[in-house]
Amino acid sequence: MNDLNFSFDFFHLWQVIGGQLILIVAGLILILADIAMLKLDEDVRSRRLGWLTVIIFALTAAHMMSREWGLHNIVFMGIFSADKFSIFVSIVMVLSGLLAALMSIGYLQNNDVMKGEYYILMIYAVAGAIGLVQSVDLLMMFITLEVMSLAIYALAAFLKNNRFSQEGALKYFLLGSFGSAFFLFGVAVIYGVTGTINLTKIAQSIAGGLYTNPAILLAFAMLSVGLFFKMAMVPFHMWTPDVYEGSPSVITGFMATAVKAAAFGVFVKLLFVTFTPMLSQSGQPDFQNTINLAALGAYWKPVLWWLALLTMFFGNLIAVSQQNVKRMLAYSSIAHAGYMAVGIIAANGDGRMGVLFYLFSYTLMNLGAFGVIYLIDGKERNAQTLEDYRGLGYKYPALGFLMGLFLVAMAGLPPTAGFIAKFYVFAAAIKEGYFLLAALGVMTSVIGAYYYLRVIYMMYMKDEVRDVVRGPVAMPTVIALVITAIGVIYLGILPEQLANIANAAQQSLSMIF
Amino acid sequence: MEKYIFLIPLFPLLGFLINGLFGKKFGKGLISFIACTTIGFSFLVALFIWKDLLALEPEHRVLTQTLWDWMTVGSFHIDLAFMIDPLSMVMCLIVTGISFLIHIYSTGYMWDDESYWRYMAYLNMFVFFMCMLILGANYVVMFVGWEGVGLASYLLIGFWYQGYDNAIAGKKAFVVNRIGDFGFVLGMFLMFWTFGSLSYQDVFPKALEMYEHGALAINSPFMIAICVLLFIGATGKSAQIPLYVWLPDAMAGPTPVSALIHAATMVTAGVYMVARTNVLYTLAPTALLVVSSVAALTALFAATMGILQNDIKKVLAYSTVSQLGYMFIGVGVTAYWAGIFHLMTHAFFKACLFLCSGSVIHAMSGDQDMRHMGGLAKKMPITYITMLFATIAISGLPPFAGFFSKDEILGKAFAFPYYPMAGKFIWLLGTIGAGVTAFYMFRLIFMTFHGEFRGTEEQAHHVHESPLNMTFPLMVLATFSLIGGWFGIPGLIGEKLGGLPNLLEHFLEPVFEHSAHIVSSVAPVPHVPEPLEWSLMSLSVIVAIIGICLAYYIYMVRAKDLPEKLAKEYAWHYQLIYNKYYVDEIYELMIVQPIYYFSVLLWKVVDAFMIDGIGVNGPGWLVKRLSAGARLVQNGYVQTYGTFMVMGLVAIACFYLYR
Repeated sequence: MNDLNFSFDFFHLWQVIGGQLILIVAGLILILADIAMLKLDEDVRSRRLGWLTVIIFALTAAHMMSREWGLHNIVFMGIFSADKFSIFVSIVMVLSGLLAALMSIGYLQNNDVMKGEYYILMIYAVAGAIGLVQSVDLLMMFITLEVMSLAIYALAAFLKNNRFSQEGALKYFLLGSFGSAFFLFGVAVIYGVTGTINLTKIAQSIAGGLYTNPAILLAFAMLSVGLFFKMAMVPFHMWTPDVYEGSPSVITGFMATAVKAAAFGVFVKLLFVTFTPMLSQSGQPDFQNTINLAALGAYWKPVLWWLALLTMFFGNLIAVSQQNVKRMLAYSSIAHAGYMAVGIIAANGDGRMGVLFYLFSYTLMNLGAFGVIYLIDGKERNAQTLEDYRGLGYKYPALGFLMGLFLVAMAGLPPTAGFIAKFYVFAAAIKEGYFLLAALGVMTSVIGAYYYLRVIYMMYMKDEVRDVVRGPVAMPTVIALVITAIGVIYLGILPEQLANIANAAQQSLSMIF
Repeated sequence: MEKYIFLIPLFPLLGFLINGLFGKKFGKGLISFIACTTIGFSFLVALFIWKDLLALEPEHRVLTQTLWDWMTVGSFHIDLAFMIDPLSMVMCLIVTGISFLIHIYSTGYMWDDESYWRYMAYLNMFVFFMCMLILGANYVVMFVGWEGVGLASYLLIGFWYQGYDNAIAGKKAFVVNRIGDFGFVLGMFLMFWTFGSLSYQDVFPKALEMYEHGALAINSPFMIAICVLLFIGATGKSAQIPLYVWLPDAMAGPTPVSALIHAATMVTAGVYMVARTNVLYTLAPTALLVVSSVAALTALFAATMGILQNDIKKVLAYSTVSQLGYMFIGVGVTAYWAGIFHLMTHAFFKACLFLCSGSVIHAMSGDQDMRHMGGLAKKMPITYITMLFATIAISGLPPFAGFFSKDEILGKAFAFPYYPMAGKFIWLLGTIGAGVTAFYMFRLIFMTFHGEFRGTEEQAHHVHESPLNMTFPLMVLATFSLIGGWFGIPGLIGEKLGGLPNLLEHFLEPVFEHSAHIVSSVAPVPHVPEPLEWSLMSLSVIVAIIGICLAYYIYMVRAKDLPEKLAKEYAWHYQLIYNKYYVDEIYELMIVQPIYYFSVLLWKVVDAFMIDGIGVNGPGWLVKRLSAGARLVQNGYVQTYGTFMVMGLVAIACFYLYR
């Protein structure tokens, strides 16, 4: 509120969106670097670009953690905010990018697609995602959403000779345009009714009584649907299996974590800043009557309740009959979106903290799993079916153990991060009295345990039928897998530290602007 | 010196860890060295602590060491703490000392076994848990040891797990002990509920205080329940009626294990536990009556079962059950020190007997049947003489160890302060049992070492005296079988011999003094006149001599015809005793089979059909069905996907607008 007098100041800009700026500039430099290294062999060039990307992501993360984390809810020109919540989600996405870049070095070699633009697209996808969660302006949200999405569409289609990659990317692009169109429509309607596109100003405006205005409700529905699409909530999830199956494995892992984190982050921000704000605690004069806004909860909570349930149910259910492990994990990622939505429905501090914790730990376990998948694949679509996993636990003990660990974590068994994350969101829901939803959610996760453990069963209790030979294991992939594995176990045993950070992050939502 | 107590269990633990983790790669010499020296060190530490304990005033002879706070839940607080008082000191010296000897013996006996490292590691593990059991300062630590020795026993009974019967015997021991442990745990719960603690140094003073303030009457139901439940645990671990059945089968393990675990130490844990809990037992005379009656029955019953066994180790096994009965008679008639005294002498002579039998079995190339032996005395003189010493000791002839301890127990039973009549009856059973003991033990000696060799040519050729590392422990134990009783010379004899003191009773006095006070205040110890005492003592010696003479007549003088003739004439009795009163068969029929068939019912109907079939597989089948149906929606067409999105949006919008 104090910063609504828009004034440009470069220092201010650097403070708020330094992370984005680093990525954007680094992306440009990377393009030049690619050209500069044209004389070198393709694989050398690709490897160098990969390591550069890793360094860039590390720098970005370091900058955000050291500088932006300590800031107190500064807003730049009413467009971007640097609050702990946005920074936390951004760091999750940068972490996802960093791990994916590490794995990509090996992945691109194995699949003979050593093109420089791969990493550049990845960097811009993360930059867009960060912009998306940092936006406090609907139009900027749309623009950054598109920046992120376009880069991701291109990455999904990166295997040019692979029919599935092309098909998936095209579907993603078409349906993504659909989703974006809904979102843009929503923005337009909101602007038409309230005359502003700034989140806090919209909140002020509808708090005055517009909250039952049909146009506002319609716009809210449209904005939500645009984001549900990215979050992969049923029934807006249908692109997910085709795209996740067709995309390069590492990109699948990246999409399932970074894009999901961005969508969840911005959805939570939109809900708790604009539509059901917690600002009444901040005691600012313009928000005396935000109590009215709490009435909106009666609208979105039942909807999200059903969506979460459907998402958990269908995600897990359809995963059961999948034979392709990547496609199975695509459905599993839909189910995980459902679990996270449970934390949002709780609409309390524990729930939001749980969502943030979930995003972080899901990033670790999901990327870890896709790292193992690409290694076992050798070359894309070489060995992705359940049958191919038979006996691999003995043939490749380390990979088998890691895969088992990540799957156990996704199934939500202790002592892994997956268990703690699920515990947090369900506990938050129970605290708010959503017993039925929590009970049904836990029941669906039992279905989930079936297909996760089936892979482990295949790996350890069945004999090999086909001679599956894993691809060469690159050092950076080993590093990434070790980081994810340690993280998954560490967070499973000592979750307090991250939980406290996530809690601080979600509390900042009540004080934005 | 208390700060070194933890070393006593630590050394065996280290031995276990080193041999258990790396033993497979070590040479046998190194394994033996590690296993024996760790126990040796424990024994030395125990000796040093003993020396220091003696330097203290008798009433201050309690050393405690708290290692760390183990668990705290509300008011429930347990420390990992050790306590040494005269009672645990005696136990500790017996356990570490005899373990040391048996470890040395094992280096000879088990040398050729391919899993030598595993054997040694288990044996060290046993000593570790046994030390925990006797050194623990509260019932929880004792229980850890209690379960731990059970585990070690299970592992060692089934040590040669390739044999089906061995594995079954191990399982039987484990299951039967579990039944006892159930009682033990319930007893602990009840004790905690009553006294709010499980630490020795809280529970006993509190019980005494409550008794003195009238809050706790003699024979209160709680005390009886606690003591009887704990005794149920003891019947499992110490092989008393009705849970003794596992011990004879436990002879499937290697013979040194039988000597150490199933004769000298582990099985006496129940006796130790009752002696440790003496304050509570003294406050519950009815529980004591239960203990002493069960014990007297066991003593006689098991002794008769030993008469006709042909397996040399089975004879000793039943003898152990019987002798444990005597120990329980001792602690059951409030003569706690006498029970511990017999525990000690029994540890010497029964370990010696088992090791001698091991030596014989070793010489017979693994044959345990006494019908194949005979005349071994000439070929194995050391084994023969040491075994003879131990046999005289167990038969209760002066001046050997068993005479003093057994006679002390029977004398005290005769003068049972709480129930004088029952005491006389217990004395009678015990005295008859003593005669039977002398009979079957000398039968064993005569069948094994005298007469003519009845085995095969090959065995006859192979019979030899065992090497020094096996005979040395025999000689040490035989010596103690002779002199072990001199630590507890009864006052009557001591006076005649010029005022010899009863060392052990005096040493143990501080532990049992409170009980003695209670007993004397409730029911004065009946005075036994001196002549009567002399005649009781002589009587038990006479009974033993009768038993020996009978054995000599049947198995030496008329060995050719009389045993067979008797077997034919008294066929029914013979079969009954030969088959151990069919107790195993009765248990099988009455308990095991019904439980088995009930469990089959539960398995087939409740578990396999209802839970697995309908409860588990049903939903699984349903999920698979639903899944196969639901995936059809995902048909790959973008139009379908888009339609679903729009329908979703419309549904949400409708809800918002028309709510």
